[in-house]
Amino acid sequence: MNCKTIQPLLSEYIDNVLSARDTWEVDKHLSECNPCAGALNELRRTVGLLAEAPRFEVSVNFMEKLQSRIAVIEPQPPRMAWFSGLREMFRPRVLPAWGAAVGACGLAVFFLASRPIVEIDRTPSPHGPSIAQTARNQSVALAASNPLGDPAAAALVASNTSNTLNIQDGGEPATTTQ
Amino acid sequence: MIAVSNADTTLIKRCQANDAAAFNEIVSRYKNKVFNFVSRMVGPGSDAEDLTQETFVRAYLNIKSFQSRASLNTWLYRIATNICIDHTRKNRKMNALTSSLLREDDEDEADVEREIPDERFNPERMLLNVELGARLNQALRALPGKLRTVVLLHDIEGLPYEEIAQIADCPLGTVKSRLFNARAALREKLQPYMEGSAIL
Repeated sequence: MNCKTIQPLLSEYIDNVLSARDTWEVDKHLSECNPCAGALNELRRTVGLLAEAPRFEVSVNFMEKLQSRIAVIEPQPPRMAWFSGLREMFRPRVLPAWGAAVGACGLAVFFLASRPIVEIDRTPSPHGPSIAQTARNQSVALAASNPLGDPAAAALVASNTSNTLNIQDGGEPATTTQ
Repeated sequence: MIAVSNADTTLIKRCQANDAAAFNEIVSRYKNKVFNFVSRMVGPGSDAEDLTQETFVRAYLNIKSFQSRASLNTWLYRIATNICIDHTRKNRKMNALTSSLLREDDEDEADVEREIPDERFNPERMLLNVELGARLNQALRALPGKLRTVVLLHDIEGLPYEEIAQIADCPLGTVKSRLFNARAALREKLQPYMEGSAIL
C-alpha cells in the first residue's frame, strides 16, 4: 500500500475498527513513512481536541421553560402504526433496494413474456414411436408377463391397449380411473 | 439495530401511557447531551437552547408513535439533527452574512468564558487553549452539515458508527468516509494552532 491508499484508512485506524490485515498494512507503512506517521499524529491530536472539548449545559430554568411550552400543547393522536411502517419502508436509505427489486421483477416479466411458446405436437410421428412411447411399450410388455400376478400390472396392460387405440385415432391418451 | 435499554423502554411505555413524570425523567436524562450536540451544530447561545427545547417538544408530540426500532438516544439525536439542519437552512436564507458574523462574535465571547482549562497559573497556555477552543468551534461551524453531524456524534458524543448511520440515515461506509473527511478538514484548519498547545 502507498500513502494515497493508507491516508484514508488513518481515521478508522485511530478508532481501531480496521480489519487485522488493514491494521497490519497501516502499521507496516507507518514504520517506513514519516509523512504518514506525521499525518496520523495530527489526526490523533484533532480527535483528542474534540474529545476534550468542554461540554455545554442547559440553563437552570430549562425544565420550567420546557414544561410551560408543553403545557399549552394539545396532545396529538398517535400516528397509525401502518403509516409509520409505510414511511419506514420508503426511507431514502431503503429506496435503492426497492429500485433493485422492481427492476428485477421487471426483467423477470420481460423474459417470461418474450419467451417463445412451444406447442407440443401430439400427432403420431410418421417415423415410428417416440422414445417415451417405446419406453412405455417396454414397461407394458414387462407388466404383461406379470411374473408376480399383480392386478395393477394387468390394469396397466389394459389401459395401454385403450391408449394405443386412441393415439392411433389421433386423440389424447385416455385417463384410466380405477 | 441499536438495542433500547430496559430503563428507556420502561420510560417510553410510561410516557405512552400519558405519565408526565416519565417524560420529565427522559428530559433530565438527555437534555445536556442534546444541548451539547445542538450547541456545536448551530453555535452556543439562546438559539441552541431554543432548538433543544424544540427537540423535546417534538419528542413529546411523537412519543406515542415511537416503536423502539432505534434507541431513545438515537431517536432524540435524529430529531435534533433535523431541527439543526432546518435552522441552518432558514438562517442561511434569511441573512447569511450578518447573522453568521454576529454569531461568531457571540461564540468567541462565550468560549472565552467557558473554556478555561485547569492550569490556571499558566496564562500563556491558558490563552493558547482558549484560542484553540475558539478555533475548534469556528472549524466545526465551517464544515458542511453532514460532515459536522458525523464528527460531533462520534468524536464529541462518543456514539458508535452503527448508531450514527441510523441517525444520519446513511450506510455505514458513508459514515466512515464522512468522518475521515471531517477529521481531515479539521486537522488542516487547526494545524497552525495545535503546536505547543497544552491540551494536546
